[in-house]
Amino acid sequence: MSREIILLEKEFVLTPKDCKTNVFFEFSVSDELSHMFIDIGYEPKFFYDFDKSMELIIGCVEKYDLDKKTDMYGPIENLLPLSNMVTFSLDMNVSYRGAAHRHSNCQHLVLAEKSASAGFMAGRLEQGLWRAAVNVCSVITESCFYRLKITGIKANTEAGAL
Amino acid sequence: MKWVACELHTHTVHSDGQLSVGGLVNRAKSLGLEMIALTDHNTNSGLAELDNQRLSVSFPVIRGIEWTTYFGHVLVIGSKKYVDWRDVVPHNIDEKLTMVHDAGGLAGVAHPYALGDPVCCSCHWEFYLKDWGLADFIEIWSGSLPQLVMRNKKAIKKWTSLLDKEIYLTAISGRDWHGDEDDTKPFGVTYLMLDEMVDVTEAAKDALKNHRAYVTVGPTVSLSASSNGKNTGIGGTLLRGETTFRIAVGGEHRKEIWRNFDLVPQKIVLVGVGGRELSSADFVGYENEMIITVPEASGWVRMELRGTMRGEECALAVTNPITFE
Repeated sequence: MSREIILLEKEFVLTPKDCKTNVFFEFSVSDELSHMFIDIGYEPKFFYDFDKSMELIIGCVEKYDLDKKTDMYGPIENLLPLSNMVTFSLDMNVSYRGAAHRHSNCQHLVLAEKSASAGFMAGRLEQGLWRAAVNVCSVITESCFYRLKITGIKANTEAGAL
Repeated sequence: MKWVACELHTHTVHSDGQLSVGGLVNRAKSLGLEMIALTDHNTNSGLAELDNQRLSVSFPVIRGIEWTTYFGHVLVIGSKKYVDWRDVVPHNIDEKLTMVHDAGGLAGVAHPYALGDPVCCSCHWEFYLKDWGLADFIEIWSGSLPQLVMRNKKAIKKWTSLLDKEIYLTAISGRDWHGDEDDTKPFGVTYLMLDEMVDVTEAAKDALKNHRAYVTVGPTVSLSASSNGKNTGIGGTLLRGETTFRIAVGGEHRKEIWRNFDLVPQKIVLVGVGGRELSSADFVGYENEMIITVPEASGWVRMELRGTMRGEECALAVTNPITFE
């Protein structure tokens, strides 16, 4: 029998109004886990409206009063396509366990006592109150569909079971 | 005490960098760097990799993190406990930097004038920092070709204005190194003068706290000053008055890395309050000591090695100041 349990499952839509916010979800872990799996996905990643993108980039350079020649990290085309950026972070019983701050819009993360996906601290996956944070850095597209699923495998408790 | 070539702003696969911690350490060694700070975005999980592979035994790595908040990025160095980045907003930045200090850390302003959203997520400093004295250091150079970009010129101007207010943030260079940069393009390095301490993070913090640092795209520099019978070096303090500055420029350290950056040193300039040129002397070659006397040094004085890089006039090295009271 599989001991994998669903701890949190969320699907929602982000819009530009959600930029610079953290969306927190608490979830409870009733038994210590041997593994935690976190699946993250959001769509779309890229903003393909060329004219609007150019307008946004030029507007950005003007807003910050920088130099179009030197401060755009190369030719303007290098900055295209603009993209949505949503990162993820995690706490266990008020203790920070790390973050997935990277550009991929599809990530599969694993945490365990002895190892963890890059960005996260390995260690015991204790029972208690956990908190997932969806860190909405930037949403440029009109809407962005976000899904998050966290599952766990209970640690082997058979020896102590009644 | 020893000057050490450092990169103080790096990223690995633990955030959005391209290299593992081991890979970054190897690249750092190949670039002649002697120390790096690991400052992944919002995580310090790379430190476990460092410890597990005993990398810190063979190469000094400063423990850090880059708070990648929605209103600017802050390099947090050597904090002994985690201080949350997610609740940092423009109006509580003073409080949050105090929390970093209370946790034993230092806080630095990363690429303050970089392009912000939507080009670079929250990369532009938009905090309302009331007490700039709560920031310990500031990147006056960031990225490639650091002296030629407007954003860094603005950062130097800001730093200079803070020095004028007797707020002595330590100026550093941060390449914001993600591992995929072109190493043939000139980039800056921060030299820190480290005291011999067992813990490299503590040694780096001590240097940053006491302004024993300079930035350069290549040549090393030494600057000392004597006034009223006392001597000091970069970051030190003297009594105001007639001051003799001894300056030398070194052309050997890491030469194989920067020899193709097309650097032409031309002039040594002492810069003081308001960013004004106090005195200057022609560059007379590497390893030759130059002596400049300033009749009434006061406030602060920093040294700039100026010349051309790829044919463009710019500073090739900038020291933190010697201050006068």
